[in-house]
Amino acid sequence: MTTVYRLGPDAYLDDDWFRREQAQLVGTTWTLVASVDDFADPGDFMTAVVGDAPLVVVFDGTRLRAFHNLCRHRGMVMLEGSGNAGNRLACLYHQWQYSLEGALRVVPQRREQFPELDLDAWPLQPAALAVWEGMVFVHPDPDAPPLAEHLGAVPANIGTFRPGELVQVATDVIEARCNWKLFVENHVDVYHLWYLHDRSLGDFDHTRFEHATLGGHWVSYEPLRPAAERDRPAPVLPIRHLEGRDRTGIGAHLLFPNQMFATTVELFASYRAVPVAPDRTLIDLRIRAEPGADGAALLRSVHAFVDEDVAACEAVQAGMRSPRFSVGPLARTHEHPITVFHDHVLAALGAA
Amino acid sequence: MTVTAVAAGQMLEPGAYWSAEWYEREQAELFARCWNLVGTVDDVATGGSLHATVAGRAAVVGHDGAWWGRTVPDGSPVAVDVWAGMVFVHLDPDAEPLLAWLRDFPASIGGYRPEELVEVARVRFDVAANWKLFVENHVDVYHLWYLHEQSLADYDHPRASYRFCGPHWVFYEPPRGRPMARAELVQQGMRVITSIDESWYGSGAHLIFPNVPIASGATFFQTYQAIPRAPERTTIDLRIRAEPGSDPGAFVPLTRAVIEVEDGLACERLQAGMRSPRFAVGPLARAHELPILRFQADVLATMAGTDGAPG
Repeated sequence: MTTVYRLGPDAYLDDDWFRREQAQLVGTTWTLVASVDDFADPGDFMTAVVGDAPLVVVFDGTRLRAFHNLCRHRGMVMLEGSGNAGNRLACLYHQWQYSLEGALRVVPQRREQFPELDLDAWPLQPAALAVWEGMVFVHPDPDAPPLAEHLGAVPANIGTFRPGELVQVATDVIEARCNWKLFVENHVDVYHLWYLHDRSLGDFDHTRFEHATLGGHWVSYEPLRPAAERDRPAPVLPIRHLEGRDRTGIGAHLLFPNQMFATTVELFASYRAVPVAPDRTLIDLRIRAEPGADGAALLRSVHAFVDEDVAACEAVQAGMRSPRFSVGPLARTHEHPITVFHDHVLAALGAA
Repeated sequence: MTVTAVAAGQMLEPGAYWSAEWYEREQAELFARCWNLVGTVDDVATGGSLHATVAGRAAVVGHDGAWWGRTVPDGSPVAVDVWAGMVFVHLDPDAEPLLAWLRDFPASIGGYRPEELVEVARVRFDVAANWKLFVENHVDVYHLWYLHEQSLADYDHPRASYRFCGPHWVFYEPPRGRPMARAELVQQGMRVITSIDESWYGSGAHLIFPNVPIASGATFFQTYQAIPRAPERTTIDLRIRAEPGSDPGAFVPLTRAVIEVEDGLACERLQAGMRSPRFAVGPLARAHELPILRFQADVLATMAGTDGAPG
């Protein structure tokens, strides 16, 4: 097993690198953008940018649909954020309007200005959508291979968690002034648990940390330390369906390339590293728990370690422009997942 | 680089709005071949000078009995000329005179004499979009009904008319219903411009190619140059001229609501989709969006070194 840091500083600083990743890696993958809980009424929508592609998920009253969030007239991004669009998706520029099923319905001044226009020829461009355990994934390519293919062995390797039986109790967006890959690398770095998270994860037995690589994906588990098992206060609202060791330990997983999960006896958190610029990332954090759980308290418990991770990643980024920046020897097993991650990034960019 | 049409309605490829290569080419092959607005006569005190960036080159322009200009630091002479109190620079010292370049534009915008007005407000703001999107939005008649549904509701869009003056563009639409009385205009703190007649009390909107949008009304004449800063960043330099004694306090927020808030938002939302692999422009409004195509054709023709768009 060779454990080396394969990517150079340019992969974290360079605009061309960033553009290639957006086009060939981040923008060509199934991406978690919402929870089924986000959609209750017809017209409820949620926007997301996947790589370079602005997308929108809409509930039409019967099913969720995903579209490219681009008006067919001038290509304008139509919807922003989330909300309810009523019974029409409208572009503010010239009021072209689409049904919730994506059909073009209204073109103002059509007879005079667009005498040849066939409404049926200009529906919103579809994107692919699939739901796994209550989590809504989209893919810019409507003909993308099935989500299950992308998830691979991950669903079978998250212990007894069934996130679809939980509800989304909190969301947050955290800004990190670092490249998105640093955040992922930190997530799969076992070595830092002892030190960066000395206090925040001090109750867990890192010496018994188990992890496995599943293609580009990665799953892990670590138990409570025996002393903590005695002294730790009982969880407020444990997830009822958990069994065995999941009732005490924690998990951390990666869906390659940029979708991370963290699990405890009380929550199933997903956090996506959304690349915004070579040195800027947004963390799209969603927490699932039992209905009635205290979302704010669970959010604080996740911030306890994620804020430490963000600070570490920003500190690494800050050094990368130095002419003396370099990465030295890596921990043989504890940092090996970083090498695996790099291998998959390079393969996706055709540079392996 | 080859230039390909991406749809029947669009002549410029998406990269024209975000690629660094396109941006550099525009500086060298578009702005370097045009007269560029660099300021107003008022900006240059007698014996003084002003610094400007023209087609990516630093230049200094001054008035010392006559207008002069040169690039910095190499000192190559540039052409300097003035129309209506506005100072223009052409990197080619032998360029055709400014008035010839403007064609019949000066005679087509009513009785305005901007040089006799005073600057009552200047606002600069940035838009996260390519400068061409801001110009295209300016010459798009179709969006007036919708994006500006409230802010320009007082104007009679069905009676709008426009014409081309070479690559430049002149637009006018009358007020809806009765024209506003002089007293009402004065109550807003602005004074009616004395050199125009009532047929210009509506909304004028013009373009001096390639990047100087102009708007005019009964009480104001404003330029809002779209200055390219980066492929996806533009500074809008809004300069409002009015009769001496005008108080622009009530007017400035109104014009900013249209130009900065509404038009700025539209440009940024257009830019936001342009890198998508699925970005495409569909059918355009036959007459209301035709000026966009003319503008794009004139950009391409200038960059190709040919005379201009046909027709």
